[in-house]
Amino acid sequence: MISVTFLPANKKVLVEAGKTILQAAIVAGVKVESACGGKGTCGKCKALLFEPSDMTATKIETKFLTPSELSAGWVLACQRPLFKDTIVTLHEQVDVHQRKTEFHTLKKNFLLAPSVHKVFVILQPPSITDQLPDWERLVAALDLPNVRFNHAVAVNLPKILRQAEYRITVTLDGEDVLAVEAGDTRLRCFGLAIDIGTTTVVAYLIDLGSGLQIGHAAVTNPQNLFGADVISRINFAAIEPDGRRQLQEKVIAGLNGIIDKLCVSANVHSHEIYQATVVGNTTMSHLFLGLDPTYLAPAPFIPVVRASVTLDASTLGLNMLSTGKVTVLPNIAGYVGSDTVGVALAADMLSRPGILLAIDIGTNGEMILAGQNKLLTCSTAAGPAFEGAEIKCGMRAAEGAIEGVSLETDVQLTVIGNVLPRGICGSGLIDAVAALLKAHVIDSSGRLVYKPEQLANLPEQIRSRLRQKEHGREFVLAWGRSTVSGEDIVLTQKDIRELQLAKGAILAGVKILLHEMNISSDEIDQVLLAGAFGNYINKASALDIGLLPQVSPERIQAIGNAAGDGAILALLSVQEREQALNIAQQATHIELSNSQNFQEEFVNALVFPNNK
Amino acid sequence: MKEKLLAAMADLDEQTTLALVKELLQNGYTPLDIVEICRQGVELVGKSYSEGDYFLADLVMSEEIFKGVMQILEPLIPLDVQQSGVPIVMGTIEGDIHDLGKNIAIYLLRSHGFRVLDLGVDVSPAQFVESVNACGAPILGISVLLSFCVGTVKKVVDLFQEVGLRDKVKIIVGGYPVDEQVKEYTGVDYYTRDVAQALAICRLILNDQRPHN
Repeated sequence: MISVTFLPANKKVLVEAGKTILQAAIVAGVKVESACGGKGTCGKCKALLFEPSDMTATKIETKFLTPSELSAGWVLACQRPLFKDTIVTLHEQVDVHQRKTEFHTLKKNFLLAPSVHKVFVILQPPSITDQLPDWERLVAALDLPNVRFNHAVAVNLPKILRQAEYRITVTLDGEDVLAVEAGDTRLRCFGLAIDIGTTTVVAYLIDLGSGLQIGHAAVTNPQNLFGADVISRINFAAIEPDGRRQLQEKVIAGLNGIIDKLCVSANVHSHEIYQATVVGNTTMSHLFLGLDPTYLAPAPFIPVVRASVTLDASTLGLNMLSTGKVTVLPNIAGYVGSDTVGVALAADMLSRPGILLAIDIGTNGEMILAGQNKLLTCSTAAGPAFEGAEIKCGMRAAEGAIEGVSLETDVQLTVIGNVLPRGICGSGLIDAVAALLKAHVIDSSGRLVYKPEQLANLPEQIRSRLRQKEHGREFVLAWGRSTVSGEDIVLTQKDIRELQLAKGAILAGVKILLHEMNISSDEIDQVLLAGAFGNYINKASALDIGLLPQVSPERIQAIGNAAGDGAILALLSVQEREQALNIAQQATHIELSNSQNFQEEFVNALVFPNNK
Repeated sequence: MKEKLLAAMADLDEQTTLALVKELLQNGYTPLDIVEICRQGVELVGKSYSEGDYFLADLVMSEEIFKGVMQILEPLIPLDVQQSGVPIVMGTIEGDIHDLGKNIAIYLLRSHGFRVLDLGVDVSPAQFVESVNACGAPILGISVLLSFCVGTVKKVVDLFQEVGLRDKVKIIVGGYPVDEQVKEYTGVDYYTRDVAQALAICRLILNDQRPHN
């Protein structure tokens, strides 16, 4: 065994010799930016060795690290097996979870009617003339026709009844008895709404009596260790003998951690949580339920189940009342999950008048077009550009990410956390390209300008940022003298191409849905942007680069974490949960990947709208 | 006039290209001469694409123009010449149904005289092996977009090995998720994320083979 010390966290772990820095970091619980999960394809897991290593840089390292970085001792954590005690400095990833959780108000009016409710009853104590058994005595008092025997509740029933002197509170979910508690506990009835994202897992603790949210907490999806995207996770589940169980355990452990936190800060006991509703993309739902996700990955993308699934909390090991129910909302298709159903529910897309388009922009762009009594959905593989992956200086929306760019006589940057920039995140990328288009640094085909007459029209400071490198042209967003790494932060021609692919996929999906409904984009009454990305994206920039259909900006509205709102609504109201089922049932899914129209629309959507 | 046609093709100027094709025909150029000029134009387009100056949409545009040119010329080209190219088998791997990139690659290869047998999408390892065996193609191009399907590409290579045909064919894997590691993992001979490079690889393979034949 050798010891590995991680700075600045100052965490020390013992691992077997030959393990990589990344593997050691996982053991130590130190977060490393690793979009590819250690495959050596993303180049994000940079680490600085305290003592220079005598091992020469691997091919992959020389690809991602500059010669000056290499000579300074920078390595890629996934590439370096360790054979002696080592001290490593990492840029520990500072997650910005509040981006997913900080906006929170339910906009929709709904009827507060959770399926879980509590009844306070006083039973007549048994006597020699009244020998009714405890369970039947309880059932008789409930006055419900079809109450089933619940073994887990019944095992402790005799003691509870007698200690409480037959004054008890019964928690019911419909006609299922979930719990029997001593005394009157009607004011303590809690539920959880859970949104399992590929990147971030969020839980909301809700008072089912008042419908109010008592707290929320988020954590990076711990499945992250097995790769940043759903495909890596499916791969892991499909190939590793124990993979599926490991993935399920990871996400449940992550959830249990935040549930603990919520309980402590709200002074709620985990057994006072009687119900949970869960949304997530179809892969996340499958992994949460321990279902085999293998056949979601290849065409024809088949899930195990589409319907809503309800299990006892004890089956999943979720940190709540063991007899409580966990309900995963229905999905629509392999790549349109219950999170999208949640968005449609929160935005009331089934019953609101007009033509509504909701888009959740991410690695997979899911979208719903509602109107004319139809609900059409599709999903397009936008790729990871919006998450900052496959972008030369890309990073997630964490501290140090450039999130806003404007161009006047020179470049102005907005950086998350107001620190020196480390890279650029998805919303920054969109902003940067929009600004460069407006300033005629990029033409509508997406090409960085190169003709002398084009260059001559640019302000001097802008022009000096354009340069030709071995791998093509690039634009310097931040000079090395004012960045964390000391290296220039650039936007390359290839980065712009990646963004074009991503935005082309989204816009083409929208076009196909519009075509399917036989309407044009100016007939859309509202464009709703779901998810954190939608909140941070600059609407004007999104329109300028043609990520969204050309509607007037006031018709575009960010609706926050609508998927999570959907889970809360389904928790708080049986009617809303019913509506979620209706949404999933009535939705018509359009599979884009084999549609000839899609390819045409996609190619047309790659260019940028003409600059006015 | 030849130079004008070359430039029009490279600049993706459809009207000028088609007009010049007709003009050259009237001036006594043979259809094959004209195809050769247009082909060189397409090559310039491919080069600009490789360098990041042109993008997918530009390639698709050049395909449209080339199709228009061939509509004029094909009826005038003798059949035996049309069928004389080196055969290449191409298809999208099983489990994957994306074919935009594959179709553009096929267009580039065809415009450069290769005879491409397109197996379409969702092609099983057995189908790849059968059709390479049937037409004796020295090159197999496998297109893959879904990274999940990379494993199936390895199955194709393994199947060639198993039936003893691995030495007879060079296998190129192309698509968004491929890289050096995919090449090593699957055991293919070449990988490319770039259609213009795919063309260069095919030429390289043929040049390498010539001295031995």
